[in-house]
Amino acid sequence: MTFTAGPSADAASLLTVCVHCGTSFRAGSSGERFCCHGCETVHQLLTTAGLDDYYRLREISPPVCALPAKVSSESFAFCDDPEVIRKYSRNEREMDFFVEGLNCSACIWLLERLPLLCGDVESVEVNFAKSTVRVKRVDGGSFARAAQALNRIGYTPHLVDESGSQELLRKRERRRELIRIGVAAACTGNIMIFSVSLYGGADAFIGQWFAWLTAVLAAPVLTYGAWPFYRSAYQALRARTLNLDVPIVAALIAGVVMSAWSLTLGEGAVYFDSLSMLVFLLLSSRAWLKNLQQTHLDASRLEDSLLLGTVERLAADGRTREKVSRLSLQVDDFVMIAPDTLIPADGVIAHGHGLVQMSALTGESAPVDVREGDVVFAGTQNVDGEWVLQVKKKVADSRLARLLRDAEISSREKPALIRFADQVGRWFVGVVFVLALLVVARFALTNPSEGFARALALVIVTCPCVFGMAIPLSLSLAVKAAARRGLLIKNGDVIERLAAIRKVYFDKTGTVTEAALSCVGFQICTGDLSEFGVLRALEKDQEHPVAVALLRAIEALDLPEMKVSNVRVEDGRLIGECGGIEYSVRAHGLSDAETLRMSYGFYRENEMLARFDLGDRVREDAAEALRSLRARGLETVLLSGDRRSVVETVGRRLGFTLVNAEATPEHKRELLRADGERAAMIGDGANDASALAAASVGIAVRGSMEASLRAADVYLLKNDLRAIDDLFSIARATRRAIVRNLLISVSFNICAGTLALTGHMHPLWAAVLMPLSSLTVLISSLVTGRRLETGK
Amino acid sequence: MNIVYVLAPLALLLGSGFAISYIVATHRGQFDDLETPAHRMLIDDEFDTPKIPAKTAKKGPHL
Repeated sequence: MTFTAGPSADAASLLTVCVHCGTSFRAGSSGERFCCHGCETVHQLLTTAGLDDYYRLREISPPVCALPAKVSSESFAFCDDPEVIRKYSRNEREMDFFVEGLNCSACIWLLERLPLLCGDVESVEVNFAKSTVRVKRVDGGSFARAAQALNRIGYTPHLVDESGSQELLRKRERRRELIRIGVAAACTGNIMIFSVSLYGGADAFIGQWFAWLTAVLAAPVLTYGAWPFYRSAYQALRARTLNLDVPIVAALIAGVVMSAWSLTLGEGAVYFDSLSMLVFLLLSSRAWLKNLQQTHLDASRLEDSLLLGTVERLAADGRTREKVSRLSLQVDDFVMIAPDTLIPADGVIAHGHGLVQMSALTGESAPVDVREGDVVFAGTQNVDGEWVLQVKKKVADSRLARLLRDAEISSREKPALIRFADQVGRWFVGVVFVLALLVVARFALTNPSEGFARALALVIVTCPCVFGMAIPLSLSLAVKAAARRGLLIKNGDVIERLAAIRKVYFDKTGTVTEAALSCVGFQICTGDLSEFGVLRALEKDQEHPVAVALLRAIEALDLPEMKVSNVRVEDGRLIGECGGIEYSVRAHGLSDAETLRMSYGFYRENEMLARFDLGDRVREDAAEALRSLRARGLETVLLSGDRRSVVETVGRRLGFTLVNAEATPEHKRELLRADGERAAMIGDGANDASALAAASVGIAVRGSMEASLRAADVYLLKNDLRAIDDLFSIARATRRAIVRNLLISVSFNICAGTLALTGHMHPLWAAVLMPLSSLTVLISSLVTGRRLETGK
Repeated sequence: MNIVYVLAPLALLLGSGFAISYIVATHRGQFDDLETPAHRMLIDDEFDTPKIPAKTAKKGPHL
């Protein structure tokens, strides 16, 4: 009896919610409670450690976005490297990590209880806004074990440099900002107390006195508080351009002059309350918006992810092994390479043989057998086999290091974003200025104070707060809405860039495919499935990716425990004995149909019991994701370093507009650069890092190599390509909201400006109306932001 | 009304006192992280598992 089957969805599966992370998924007939292995492992860990209050807390304060737990296979040994400690730690006791998956209060609770799970940790301090944790170790504790603990509870850590001078500068700048805002708030509030009496009709001595008090209180605000505006306006004028701070400064100066005039005269309106209120509002909105940016995973020092870490070097006698840092490897050093580790440097195999996965560097999906004399590269993964590497290039000179340096440069030379706000704002400001000057000139000879009053009213009421506040606000709200959908956007500029994207490039291995050998089909030639228990026993302890794939294929079957003996590998066959009968797994060679790469047969003696077809499976969500992108009118291009036949097959199956195979990383970068602001790139490996950095919008998928994560502008926290479509819809909705706000603001300004020019608006009225208009636009942006978060 | 001549400066003095303490607190780093404490508030006492005091901490269970 033979029956063939391929990967298919269970007919009788129901939609349930993962006990750990809350994602909905289809449970098979065995009634799974977890959406993935990662979630199950973490859940087990938490329950045995007595930390399951985590789940109760989660119910009280649910997370922003349901993210399956991600447990990386990284060892984090490099965190204990003395070079790393010197560079990245604060006074050798504390180290900061950016963690993935920090999205709720329960996470904060759990992370700060890390000392209970790991004896090397003395304390953990979480910074929720930046998604970082500061880990303080006990005396003599290991940072590596701390990082491993973080990883095992599902929060993948990445080193960040919080002790560098850049960071200190940022901190000092932020504190100064806060003080400015505080001083402005205190003074404005107190000014209001006196202003109210003035509005209420206080006059004579008291009136005069209070007016002077408002002037005194406004002094710190208009000098220290407004300093950033003066500096920015000065710089713009010096460069002979106009920016948004120029009219603000003009309004401030004009207001001060007129109020001082009124004070000395002893009569007339005094505007200090409106002026300091204006400064306070502008300062606080700018500070708030700046804090919504994610600046910590950037593309500086990308090489570090390659240079950090220790390796085992063979001493000259060929026997003793010593642990040295990768940085200190010299040419012709010999290094022990263990299974399932990253190769640290470019070189040749001196002794032994192995199986190397090149996908991170070239995009090739099938692992390659390597033996003595073969050349291998830094950054590729040694999947199986233990062998000796003879270093031929220092780590910093390896191909990968050059690629990463390249990516750093590319990120600095990204196509410049012409901010919408700057474009329209500049034009707007120019028009208002010209009008103000005209009205002053008109009245210069007849009635100068009337001219000034009208000009002041005009400049105040048309204050372009919409550009300075509402647009950045919309962008930042969009970034927050994206976070709810599992998209980590590093700053609001990305939303603006997305509006110009016409082409989306996809990497193949690891992005559109799973980058792991899995069973894409099988043919069973026997009726007795229990014999597969032997297969399981044979493959159980093998580390070969084929073993992993076969084991996963038969996982769902309920198989009896079998014992095998005399397990050995001969001529590429895996052979073992059970109950006196010889069983073997034999490679059938490359199949030539579709993306199938190799066939393996499971034999009893010489009779084939089953045939398994293994390949790099295309992701389930890829087809749908691509369809929705094409429906938006975007061109989709498959860009891969893998062989032409494989790439073309995948391209055809997923309906890509264009397919580009056997592309080197340099070639990828050139393509992206040539397309400039029209192209976005999605990838995951080191061979994508420079393309991601060069693209107008670079998107790294979950599980990307560290370098790609840092080089990209957007990082997918969820393992789902359909989130990319969400990205584009958020961008479009935000664009529409911005345009709508601009129209509201411009029409308001035209009406109010006309009133001011014709003398129907007293500057005091202008001072009241202006914040009202800003408020309307701000509320409109907030409403759109709300709708973005809940509606879509 | 004469009392206003005393009260107004007094109020300003009090206000500047608060302003100064705000500036000092900012320099001491109290306002460096404004978002995390808001989340910490939501964690009730009932969720507070006893922490191992630093001095008696031996190497805890290794993961």
